[in-house]
Amino acid sequence: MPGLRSYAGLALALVLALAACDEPTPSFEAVPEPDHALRPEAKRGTVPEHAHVVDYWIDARLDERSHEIHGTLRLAWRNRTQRSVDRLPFHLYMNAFRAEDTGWMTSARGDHRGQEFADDRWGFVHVARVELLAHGPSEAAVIALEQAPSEPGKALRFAEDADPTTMTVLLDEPVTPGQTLALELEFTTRLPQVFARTGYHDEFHMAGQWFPKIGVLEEEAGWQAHEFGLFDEFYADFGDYEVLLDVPADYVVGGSGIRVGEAALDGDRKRLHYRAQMVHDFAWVADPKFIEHWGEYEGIRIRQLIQPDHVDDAEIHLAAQIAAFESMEARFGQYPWSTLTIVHAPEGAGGAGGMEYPTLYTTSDIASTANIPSWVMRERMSGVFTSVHEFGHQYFQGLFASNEHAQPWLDEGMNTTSNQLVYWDAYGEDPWVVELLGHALTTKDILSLSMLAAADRDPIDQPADRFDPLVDSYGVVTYQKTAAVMLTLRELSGREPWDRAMARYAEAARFGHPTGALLEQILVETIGGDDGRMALVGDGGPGTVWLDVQDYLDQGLRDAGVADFRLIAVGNRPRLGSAGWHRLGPDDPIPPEPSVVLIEADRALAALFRRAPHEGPPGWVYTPSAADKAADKDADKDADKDADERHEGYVVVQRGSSFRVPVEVLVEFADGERVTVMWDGRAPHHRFDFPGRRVVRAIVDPNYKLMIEPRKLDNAKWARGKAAGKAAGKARKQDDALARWVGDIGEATNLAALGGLGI
Amino acid sequence: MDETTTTTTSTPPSRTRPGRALLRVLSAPAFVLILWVAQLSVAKLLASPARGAAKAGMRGSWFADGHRLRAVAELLIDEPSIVAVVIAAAGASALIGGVFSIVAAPAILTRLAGERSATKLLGVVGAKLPAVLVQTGYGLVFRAICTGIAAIPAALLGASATPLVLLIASFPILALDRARAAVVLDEDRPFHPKTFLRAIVRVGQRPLWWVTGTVVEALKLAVGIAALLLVIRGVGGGLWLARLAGLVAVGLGLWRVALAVDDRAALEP
Repeated sequence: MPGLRSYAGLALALVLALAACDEPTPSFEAVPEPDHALRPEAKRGTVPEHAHVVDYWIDARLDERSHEIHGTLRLAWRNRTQRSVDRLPFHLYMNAFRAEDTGWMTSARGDHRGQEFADDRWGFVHVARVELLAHGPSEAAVIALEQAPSEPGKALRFAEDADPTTMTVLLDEPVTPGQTLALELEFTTRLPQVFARTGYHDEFHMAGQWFPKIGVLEEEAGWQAHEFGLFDEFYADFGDYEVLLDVPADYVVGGSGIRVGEAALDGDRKRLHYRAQMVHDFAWVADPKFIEHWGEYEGIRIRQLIQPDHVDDAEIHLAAQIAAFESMEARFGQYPWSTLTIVHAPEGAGGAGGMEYPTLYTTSDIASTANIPSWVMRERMSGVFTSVHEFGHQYFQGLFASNEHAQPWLDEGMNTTSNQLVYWDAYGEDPWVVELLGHALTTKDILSLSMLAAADRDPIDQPADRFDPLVDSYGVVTYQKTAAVMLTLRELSGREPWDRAMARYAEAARFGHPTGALLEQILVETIGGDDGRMALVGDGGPGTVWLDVQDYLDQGLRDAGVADFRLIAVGNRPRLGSAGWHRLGPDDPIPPEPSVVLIEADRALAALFRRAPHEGPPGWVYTPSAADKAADKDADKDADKDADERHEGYVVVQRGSSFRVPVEVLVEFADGERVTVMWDGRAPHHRFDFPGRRVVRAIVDPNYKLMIEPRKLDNAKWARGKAAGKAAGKARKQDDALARWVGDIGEATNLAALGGLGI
Repeated sequence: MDETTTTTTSTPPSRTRPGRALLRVLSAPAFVLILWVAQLSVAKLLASPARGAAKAGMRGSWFADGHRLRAVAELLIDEPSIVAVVIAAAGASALIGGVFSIVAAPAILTRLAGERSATKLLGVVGAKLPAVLVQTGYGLVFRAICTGIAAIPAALLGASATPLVLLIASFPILALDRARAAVVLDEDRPFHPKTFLRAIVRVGQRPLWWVTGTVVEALKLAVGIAALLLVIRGVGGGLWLARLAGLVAVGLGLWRVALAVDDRAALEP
């Protein structure tokens, strides 16, 4: 019927037209840009002036077609040490991606955290000139970096080092203690296609480690400017940054610090002016597709730059961020800056995700579980953990700024430690992170599982370039094992002393380039007593179980091993009786003399059965075994009443590795009582005896305190033998619950696979 | 018009009666139970290596800390042979199920058609197995084609295409049931592909049969998966629920085959 066909055609056309319409871009109410890059002093605390070492002024232009950044950089560097220096090392991190034979690429072989290098899409940084603008005492050398110098600077000699990720600038005159130097550099950076933190993908540009950066001059060790290796991260001094970015007008830009100006330029471009204070790096990102999402925490502006496909996840990331703020500020002190930018890289640019920069970090997407009902699976890991982790770096990398080359664990591992605590503070004691069909995988579970394969391959406390990528231990040792060492210490110490130590460390470490030695010293002093030891059981007398904090840290940080305890024997044996010959003691009563008849009868029996008569030397008394057995018979008639007294239970714990740490053992007895005992873990094994008690079951580390012990399946045993009683006997007849569950799953899988016998 | 021509070119389709087909199954309780016990035995037997491996992997220790997922992950990481054994057993189960469905098809069809003599049921297996094998071969080819067709809506529409995918995927199964019924019960040309093609047409002309068969197959799948999920979840008595799900699966499978038996019975004068 023509009429119906017409209507149908019209309806179809309408549907198609609606489908073709773009959905409106969501927008969110903006939070105003803060006036200052730092929070008010009352909120952020004091900033030590001695930590303010180097200021940067950078004027840069992004060529979005060639993915190059052309820039002029001026820096004012202050010699805060007592050393005189006649050369200045600079990091040229981007040269790591320049060719196959750089140190970084040699180690990586084109792969970084699962992301592959795109062939022929190299990156580099080329320094065209270095000029000296000023040199002298601080007061005299203060120049306005943002003003072009009235006279050309003096050209300085400079050259790349053997590995192109560092270069050395030679000075004609040394910089003596207290002096300040101002330099101007002209550089060009080509971004690689992103696979290792920095680079581009289509119109997305992540500029991280994009400018030449001066090394760190330490008082004792001198210049620190490491060759950039696969497992290296970054180390620089604090100062102020003024950065001008010339970008296409439609690009949405995020950067460290606050935006203090914006101006339109010819050719459909714009110039943005950023300011960051007391930071050691400046990173920025630009993408026309970003959608801006806003939030706030205690006056700190939180800005998310999120991809359109994932805009619905912004609130989840914001909630995670706020939870992280609450936990980290409570434990590690005030976040000093007024802003935080969270960047979501687009699909295809995953290599840029999961990285921290001062007041800015890149996160990862939340996995889509829209088609999975929550009773099957729920998780609070993907995306959320990345945001929590990268924010934690704002403290350990951004605020404390330890040397990530020399001691990567001090940032990554301590950060991972803090991440667990963020989850605990937000979700409760050892909360689930993934839940599968009602079974939870908690924070402690994930920590121990992550250590199963490679945690014992390397010690924690070693420089980044000492890790071999083929050993595949860097990640688990630096991140999870460090967290396990620290959290185990926290549990053993009763938590509060460790928390106090962390607060002390955070106070000392702010803007301070702390070392691991500082952290260890604070832990030993705070948790241990005057001698660095803490009594876990006992009052210092015999039987006290001590935790030697320094010894624990020495093992945890500088030995490769992990803890491993196992039960090797749990059971009961008959208690010793009194059969046999014994000397009479001076105070023992003299037993009555047996009658002559009994003596003669015994002698006759002895002759008959070819045994020695029961006559011993003077002062000796004989007790026959039969006496004990008779007592046993009577006892049997009283069932279990005296069974405990006739037995002594035992539990033998073995230390299966070289790692010595005190450990709790829960012992369950036949009468239902449960006691927890502790062993100091020093000897290779230890036996607990329980005279007059029958042991039914024992469990090592029942409260899961030893997160440094990844293997737990050998931690529980039922007692062998009938003496343990009915409960143990019943358990022994059944399969272990885990083995039974695995078997049931296997059988149910077979039933499903059989599918009704294939009918 | 010539009446004879009309009669030979247009056979009025008989009605599909799912209820009657179900009655065929319910009237063979002993047969159903025998099949169920066989299924349970195979599943249990093939699961015993995995049970043994898991028990051995525990090395006399006991799971005690309540962190079940972590514990099983540790067990499987340290004893990957357990995973291999479970997978191998599942694979063997699927293979045994597939082989059984071919070998037992003549007996199943004959029993659902009403024959009770065990001797005759066994005899028909030997007599009709070659024909069933050939028709199964045609069925596999047709199933591959239908799987390819079902992939199109799945790729385009995702999870929302599930009903359509199930409908397409079950069609070759129903056609094979009908073809087998034809060669076992009707003495149709046992090796000729036209027998299978006629079965395809037959099922295609009966949407109620097609939909009923699809629902039955979907229920079979759902029951098996649900039972497995219950066991994984650790619900008390979960394994017995899985075993009962096996009984339901056997019953549903027989019901689906009974639809084909019922269809050819409806054609009998």
